[in-house]
Amino acid sequence: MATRSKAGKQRTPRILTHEAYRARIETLRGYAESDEIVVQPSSEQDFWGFVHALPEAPKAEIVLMDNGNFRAIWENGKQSRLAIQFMGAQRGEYVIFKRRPNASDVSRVAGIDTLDGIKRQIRAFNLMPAMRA
Amino acid sequence: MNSNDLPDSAHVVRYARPTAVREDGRVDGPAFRLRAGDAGLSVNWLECFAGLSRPQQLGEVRRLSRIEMRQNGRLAELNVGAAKVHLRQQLSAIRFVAAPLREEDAYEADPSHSEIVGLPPGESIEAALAGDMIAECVNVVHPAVA
Repeated sequence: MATRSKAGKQRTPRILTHEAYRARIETLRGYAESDEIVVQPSSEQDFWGFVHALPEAPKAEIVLMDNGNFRAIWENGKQSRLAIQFMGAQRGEYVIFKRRPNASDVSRVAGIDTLDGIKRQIRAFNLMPAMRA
Repeated sequence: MNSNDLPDSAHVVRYARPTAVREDGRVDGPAFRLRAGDAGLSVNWLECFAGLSRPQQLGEVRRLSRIEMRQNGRLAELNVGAAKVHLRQQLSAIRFVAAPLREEDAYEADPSHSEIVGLPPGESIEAALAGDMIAECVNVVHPAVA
């Protein structure tokens, strides 16, 4: 069942989003076993901590990197994109693409920061206003 | 442009493991990062198999592959010219070069094998950015196993 945010956008209840994350992570775990990728528990733990801290965030896509870290991707159409590799120890590698208003060029930044620092980046870039970073 | 550079009109495919394929079917940036010790990112040049249809070219890539492609893996297709234009915003040295593989032990020769060179080391921040930019250039995604 979907609800609407204050901005009128339809969103999926958090409990359903988290169930979808759990199912996706299990699927990735199965793929990882076939390709002999060792899933990093600290990465999964940080992913869950991050999404629990951002209850208004839209559902992310999740992939698993060859080093066993989870990577989550949030997109707002072609306007903005945030990808975070959860590296464990509350650190993340982020890649942000943001199209400037009324411009064809895209601002692209990447770095490694604490997860709290990445939340500050989300605020600085005004990424996904629904996220309460 | 050197003699082994692929033409801008060429199309290449890169195998993406199931773990790098998103639920919406798109291939994510980590599929385009260099692995430790690699100088180039392996791809296959489709038009190398001249005279064949696209499905037949993909069939040759699958048949000659030296890696075990998984059922849920994907072959991400890029146009060389468009990808170079896009990537040169960040990576001035990027090139797509033919790197055919000779017959070896049980493997047939693979004339389509090529590499993307000029990419940053796989664990670097620059690689994260480059990988996501390459993923933006993917225009078709094919099943890795037909």
